[in-house]
Amino acid sequence: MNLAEQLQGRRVDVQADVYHPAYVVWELTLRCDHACRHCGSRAVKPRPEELTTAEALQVVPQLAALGTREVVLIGGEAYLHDGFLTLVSALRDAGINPVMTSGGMGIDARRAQAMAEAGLQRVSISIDGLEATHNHIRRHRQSFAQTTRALQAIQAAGMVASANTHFNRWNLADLEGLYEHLKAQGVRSWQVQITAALGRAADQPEMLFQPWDLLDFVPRLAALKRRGFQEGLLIMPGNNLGYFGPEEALLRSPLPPDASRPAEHFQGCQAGKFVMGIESQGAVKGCPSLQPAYIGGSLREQSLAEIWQESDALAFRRQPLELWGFCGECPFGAVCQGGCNFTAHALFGKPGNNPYCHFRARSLQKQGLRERLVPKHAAPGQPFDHGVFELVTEAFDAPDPGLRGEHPLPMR
Amino acid sequence: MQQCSHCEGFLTAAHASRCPHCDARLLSTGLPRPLKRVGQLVLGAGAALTLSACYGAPPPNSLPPCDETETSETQTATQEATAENGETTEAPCVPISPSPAPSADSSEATTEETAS
Repeated sequence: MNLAEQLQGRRVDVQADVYHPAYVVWELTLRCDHACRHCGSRAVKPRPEELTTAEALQVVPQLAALGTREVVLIGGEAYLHDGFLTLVSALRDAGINPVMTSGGMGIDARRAQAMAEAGLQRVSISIDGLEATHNHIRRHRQSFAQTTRALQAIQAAGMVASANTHFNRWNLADLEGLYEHLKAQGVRSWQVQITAALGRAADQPEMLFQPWDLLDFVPRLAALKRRGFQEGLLIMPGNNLGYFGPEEALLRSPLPPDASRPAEHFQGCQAGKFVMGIESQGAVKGCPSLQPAYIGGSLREQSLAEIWQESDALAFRRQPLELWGFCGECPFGAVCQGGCNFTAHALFGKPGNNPYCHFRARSLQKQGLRERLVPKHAAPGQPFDHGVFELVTEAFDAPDPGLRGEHPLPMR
Repeated sequence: MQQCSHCEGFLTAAHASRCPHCDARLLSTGLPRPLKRVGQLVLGAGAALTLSACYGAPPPNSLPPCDETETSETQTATQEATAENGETTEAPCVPISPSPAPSADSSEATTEETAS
């Protein structure tokens, strides 16, 4: 499958296509060789009762039957599951494009070759800043060096190298430097998102963006995206980065701006419509990052088709959401539907109002205002859990007290 | 969804007189220019989008790589690309950085600070 075909596999027409899990992110194990400070799933130890290789293999034909085109294998670290390579091959043989997102710690030349032989064509490495920042966030002194080794090994084995980055107040200053680094390493596409207040990140709110940080971040990212189109590095925003600022069309398009094509924009969270997440113990959600309340069922108890077709929890996005706060009055609300739901839920315990929005921050700035997130209740300490935040509207030029504590790294 | 002809920000019916992004005055129709739907050469229909998920991977960069010998002095070369509908169009191409040689070290990675 060539890259244009792979891109087509990630495209849907939200008005014409029937809901199906075209794009699936599958957590094979929560076991991990990192214990990152921002990890939403709090990965390091495996979940109790994770699916065995035999059980996981039974899921593959069910995915194919529902029309899945691409599965991204994740963890923890997917390669720490005994059946990792077997599942890669099974997905490929079922006509599903297997992809992987990894911290890269254990991807050396030998493992990369085995991955390529099993059927992986594309691997994305999570890199969360330049060396000092990345190693701090990842809590490992060699992590950045290992990502470089992994990127080299992936390409030497004939696979395409991509990257994922969470941006937050700790690594905001690294944006342009990281672009240069990834370009030099031969990375072809880069997914950029913001750190949500999920899992361990909820324990360290000082790292999180304040909503007005998007006023700085989004235009800088848009400038890099323009460069990337010329220099061979495609930058694509994750679902929790946006929305509807003047750079929206540029940010969302996987191809350079062209007046002959309709301009693209965010069209609401696609969880449970065209996207699905599978947790390592068999729980199925509309999106891999959603909180446990959105689990639609277990693959040990029901077929995937039953869960997909019958679970209200999984299908919560198939009806318009009840928007509230700024989103309830926003002119883009009908299309945007409050942006990323797990990100909003992680702040307020329910979706429908998302202060991490470029249009919203710009609109408030024009009124001399901004919104500040204030942590009120801590997260309990489970995978994909969250605390509770209060939203304070204040003067745009009010002092920035930070969320809590001192920044451990210098700010830009 | 319509776009402002000045800043390219998106507009809705609620934006009758001024662009909410750049404050440019809009035409009396409320919309400064029709959305262009001339081609759909590569990506397909107007309601199409690229699926993503925050624990997923970015989509592939589907632009064809340039012949590096032809692009050594400039990165703005173009080459013919065949679109899905069979038409050809001048499309940007991209240089690919040479891949460094892989590390000879094939030992398993070890964690240092994974204390949680």
